[in-house]
Amino acid sequence: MKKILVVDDEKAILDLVKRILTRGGFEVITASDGEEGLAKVYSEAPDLMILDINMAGMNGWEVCGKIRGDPLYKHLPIIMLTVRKKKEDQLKGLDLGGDEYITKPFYPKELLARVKTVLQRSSGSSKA
Amino acid sequence: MKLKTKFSLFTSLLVTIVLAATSILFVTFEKQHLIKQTRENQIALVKSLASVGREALFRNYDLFLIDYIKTIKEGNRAVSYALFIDSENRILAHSNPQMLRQIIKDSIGIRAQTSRTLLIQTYQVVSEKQEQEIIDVALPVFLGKERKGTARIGFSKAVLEEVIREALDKTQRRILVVALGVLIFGLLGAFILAATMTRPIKMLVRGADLIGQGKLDTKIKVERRDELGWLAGEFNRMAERLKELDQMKKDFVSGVTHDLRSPLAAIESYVNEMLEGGLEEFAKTGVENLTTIKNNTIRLSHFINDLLDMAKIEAGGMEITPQLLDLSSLVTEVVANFMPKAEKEKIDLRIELPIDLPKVFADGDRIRQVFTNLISNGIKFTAQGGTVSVTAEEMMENPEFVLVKVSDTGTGIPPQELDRIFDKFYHIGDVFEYIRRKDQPPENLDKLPDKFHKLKEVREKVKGAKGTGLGLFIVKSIVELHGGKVWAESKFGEGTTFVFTLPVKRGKIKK
Repeated sequence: MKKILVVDDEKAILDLVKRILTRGGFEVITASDGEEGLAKVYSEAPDLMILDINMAGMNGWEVCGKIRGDPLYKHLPIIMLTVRKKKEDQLKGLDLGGDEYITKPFYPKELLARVKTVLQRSSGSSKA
Repeated sequence: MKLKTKFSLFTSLLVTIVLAATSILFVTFEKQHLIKQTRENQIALVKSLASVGREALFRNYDLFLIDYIKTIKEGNRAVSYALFIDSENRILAHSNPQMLRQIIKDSIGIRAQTSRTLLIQTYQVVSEKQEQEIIDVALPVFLGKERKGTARIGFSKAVLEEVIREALDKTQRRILVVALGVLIFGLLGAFILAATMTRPIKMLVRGADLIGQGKLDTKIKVERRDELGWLAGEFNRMAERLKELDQMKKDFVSGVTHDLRSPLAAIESYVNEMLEGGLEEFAKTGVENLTTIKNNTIRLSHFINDLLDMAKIEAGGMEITPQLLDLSSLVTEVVANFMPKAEKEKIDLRIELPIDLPKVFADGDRIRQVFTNLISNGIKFTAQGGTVSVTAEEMMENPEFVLVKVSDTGTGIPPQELDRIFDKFYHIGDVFEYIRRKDQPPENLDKLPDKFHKLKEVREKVKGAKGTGLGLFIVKSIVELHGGKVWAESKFGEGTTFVFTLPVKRGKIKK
């Protein structure tokens, strides 16, 4: 079972994403801010990370940058999940190494589909 | 007209006027001086003739006198005649040799021969050529008390005036040359001065224009220790301040955007979930979903209300209708609303009001809002087992006010943040940022002293319940509208006390 780490400081979103992914057959762990998220990347070694951007303290950009700068985890697939709808934010997210950019509000089925796609893509590339 | 042109013209005009006035004054004085000097020269000439005459008489040596008169006549073109008359009024020597030994009988001559002191006479001579004015200067010569003769010299007034005029002309020419030189230097100086003055002004204009266009990074490089330098400095400071304001505006907009979008996004995502899930799923999670939606709706409406209050305050449009108010019943009511929450979070919520507390003159709804915001903050930032208490007392130094305190044993506020907490959109999230800046990574919070443990606990608590960042701003505005003051006393890690004052009598309200 693939393990997914969800990082968001909105409890409501965290709960909903966790429910959707659990229903989709994934093991879900959560973190409610950037520091906790980063710590859980190291302690739990998830297969994928869903990351909010606007968080007090360490924000999503910083978390993403740190992971991509770490040789052990730089291939960890990251999906940005944020209320930032601007094209430039989306490009920045992809620039920083995000694999996918989903804006809030989101559709549960779409979220699940994208998670699966990103996981398939990353396992395909790691096999190759 | 450009400043440079104006300045140059004005300076030139000033230089010209000063020069002209100086020249005129100088020429006038010079003329008077010349006239006086001419008169002195005439008298000196006659005196020397008289003394030579006296010598000649004494030594009986007329030839010497004749020679001297010749010298006088030749050496001074203004002299039209010179003569010496002996005691018998006979001409002993004359510039015109034909006149020797003659006796003068005209009235001028007689007057000159009889005067016992220096005598100056002016008269007209009509010769065949022209009419001439002569100045006759006569000086008697005495040997002891006996008059021995008279020395007389006649000067042509026309020639004298010509000599003076020539001298003056020379002076005027010299003045003209000097004046021209000064004028040229003056103009050049004025122009250079104007240019050095206007260059920084031009730079100021250009800089101000750029700042006006919104290029707030503009630095006006006028480094002078004068008004222009100071002005440039002021401009630069203004630009910096504008930049700060601009950044504040941006922060404000992005803060508002985020705080409005987050609950909305949550609501819509939950609605999507329910719509996709169908009835079967609804039976399982529907109530939970709707509760979340409701909570987010409440959060949104709080935020919008706070925003509207803020807008009202900013526009100066918040109005209060004060009346005599019993604080203890109002506080009891507000505290009662918070009781379930306090019990759930294991916080001791207390009221300690004296029975004889005077009534305050205030707007009940707004004061309720003040207590709600302060108590809610207190509970939010206090860890399990902590205390939040409301106390009040009459103000000792000013009995027209009541002093109210809302204290908690919560996280406290770092001293350098204390004056910011009443700012709009200030968030306690910034306090955690402060810990991070102090190079204390949050994962090491466990190793921190005891009081930081409750900070960690509160931190977890606050994450789920983000405020609007407007509560304290609204508190401050309401209290100040009542004519009161509000401030906070806090020890980081130990707790905070918010203190505010409310008027007891009417007439303390700011209109």
